[in-house]
Amino acid sequence: MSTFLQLAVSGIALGSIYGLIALGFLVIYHATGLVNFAQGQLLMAGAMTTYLVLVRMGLGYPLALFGVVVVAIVLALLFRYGLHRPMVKRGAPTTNMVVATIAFGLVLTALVELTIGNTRYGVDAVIPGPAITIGGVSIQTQSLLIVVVAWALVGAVWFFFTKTLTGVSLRAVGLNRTAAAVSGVRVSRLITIAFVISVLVTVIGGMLVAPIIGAGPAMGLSIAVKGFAAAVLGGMSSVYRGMVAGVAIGVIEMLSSYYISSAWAPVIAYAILFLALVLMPARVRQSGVHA
Amino acid sequence: MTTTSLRTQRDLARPRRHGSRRALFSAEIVASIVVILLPAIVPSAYQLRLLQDVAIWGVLALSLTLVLGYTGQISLGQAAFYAVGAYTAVILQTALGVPAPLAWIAAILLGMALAYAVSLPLLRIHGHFLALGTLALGLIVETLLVQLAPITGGHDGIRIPGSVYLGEWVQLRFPYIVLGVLVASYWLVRNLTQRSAGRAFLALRDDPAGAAALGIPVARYKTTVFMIGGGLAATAGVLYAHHTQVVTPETFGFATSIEVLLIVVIGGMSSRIGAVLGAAVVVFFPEWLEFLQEAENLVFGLLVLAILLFLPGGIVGGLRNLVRRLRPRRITTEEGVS
Repeated sequence: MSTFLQLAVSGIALGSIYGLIALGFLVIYHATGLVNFAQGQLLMAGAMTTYLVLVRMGLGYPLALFGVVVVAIVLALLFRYGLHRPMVKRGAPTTNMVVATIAFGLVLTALVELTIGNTRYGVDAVIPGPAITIGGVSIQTQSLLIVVVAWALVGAVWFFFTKTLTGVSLRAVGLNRTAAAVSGVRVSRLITIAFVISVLVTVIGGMLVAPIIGAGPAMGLSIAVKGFAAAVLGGMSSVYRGMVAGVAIGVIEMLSSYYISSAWAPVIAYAILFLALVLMPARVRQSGVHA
Repeated sequence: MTTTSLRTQRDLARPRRHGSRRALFSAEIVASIVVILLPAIVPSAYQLRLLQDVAIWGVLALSLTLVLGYTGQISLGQAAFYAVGAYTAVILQTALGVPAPLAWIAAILLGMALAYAVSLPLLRIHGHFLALGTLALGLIVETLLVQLAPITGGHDGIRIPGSVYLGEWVQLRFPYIVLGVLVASYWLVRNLTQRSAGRAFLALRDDPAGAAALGIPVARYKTTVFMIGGGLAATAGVLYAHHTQVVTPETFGFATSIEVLLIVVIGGMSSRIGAVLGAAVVVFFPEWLEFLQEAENLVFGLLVLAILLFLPGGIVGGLRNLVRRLRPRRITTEEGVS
């Protein structure tokens, strides 16, 4: 039983990271209808920035957080003004947008590989120290921190989208861009805000996960795929459903890697993504077509 | 919507007179013969190897051009079919002792069968979601290649020495087979995408509902094209297995699916010859420019971003624009006549 609980706790922590990816993914998806395939590489950028500031420069976590936020804003603006907006203006088809996000991720990975190095680096935990033991289950402080921060971010994003005027306008942009523009919403600026929020959430996810799985240029893809799976499994709709689905995937992954085989665990996560996509209700499927 | 239909209109408005089409046809025939005979005139073994690399990537890229460029189905899992082709051919020959030609046919058929099997559920999803679904498929196959070690040899892969399984005579002439298959694939894709079927593909790519309303069997065409694409990718896999004489899981991962995508975008998304040109760029440039080798992904990633931003038609689209710009008068008079 205690093994089971132990695995479940690790699963919840890892799953919260998947949930953050799903969150970042859904924010852009809802604002623009774009699926950002560079999500995993953005997470990697967050983890690598943390490593750079913390280990290479020897500075503390407050400065690492600052660095990560700066990197997030720079990447978001670059992505939005260097790539997304020009392509939308030219009326690029969905296919080209998908390829563009993939290429953006590829460039990001290659840049990190060339400038920092192609290995996985260890990163210190935010609060070093022994794990806390509750009822025979030991919980790492970092895991606890991940869960708390992830759910706080989900709460903040939910608050933003439902309770603030900017957030509600952003939802309006996602539902009907023309109608939003007619009602006086500054569409372009709001989409930029959505990009910044999305990248910020993803990059902070990278910062949180770095002490647990390390930071390396190739770390993005597998986490991103599980994040996509979480978003799809959560019905591509509300942010907290994606989060719950992410936690579910994390727990399933941990349990299956222990009880079945660690080598087969990724296949299960990929199969979840595949099945969730194929069995998606028509309402959800259609929403992406003309967006 | 507006832009895609505009693009279709421009494609259709391209002046196509009978004479120029016949000239194009002769040029294609001549080029095909020259390409098949290339191994005879290539001086060094090193260049011969590069030539075969281009041809194999070219066949793989043609499979994606057909699926992505002509019917708008984004496949991020093309390496899955590539893997099925390569591994089936190798396993049938090494473990079961099936003669090479039979093993090749079986490998291609299995690639098509897998494509057919996954296209049935995947038909339900489009655009971004299809990209995610095929991404998952590619990753599943990639993991299975490692995990089914008793059959696939795991990380070590399987060796298939050409002289043992093909015989010395065939092994020496294998480059002709590779380039022959490239030419055959080109003609297959060309004949599929010309005339009414080709226009139907473009129509269902740009507006599935409109195409269905015009009586185009959208679902059947999509499945057929996806299946043929799977078969072509499997064919490329067979060629790869015999070309390198060893198959390992790393060759068939997500990175390969992405590289094919880059090739197709660089060459020109809806261009048959673009697939081959893109393959040539991706294979030759890192060989010629040594500094590129280290920063290969960076350079090609940036190149693809630049192409998407400034030249969405890729190399071939750019050349077409150039030709159109160089002879503006003829086009205006043609339009004046018609």
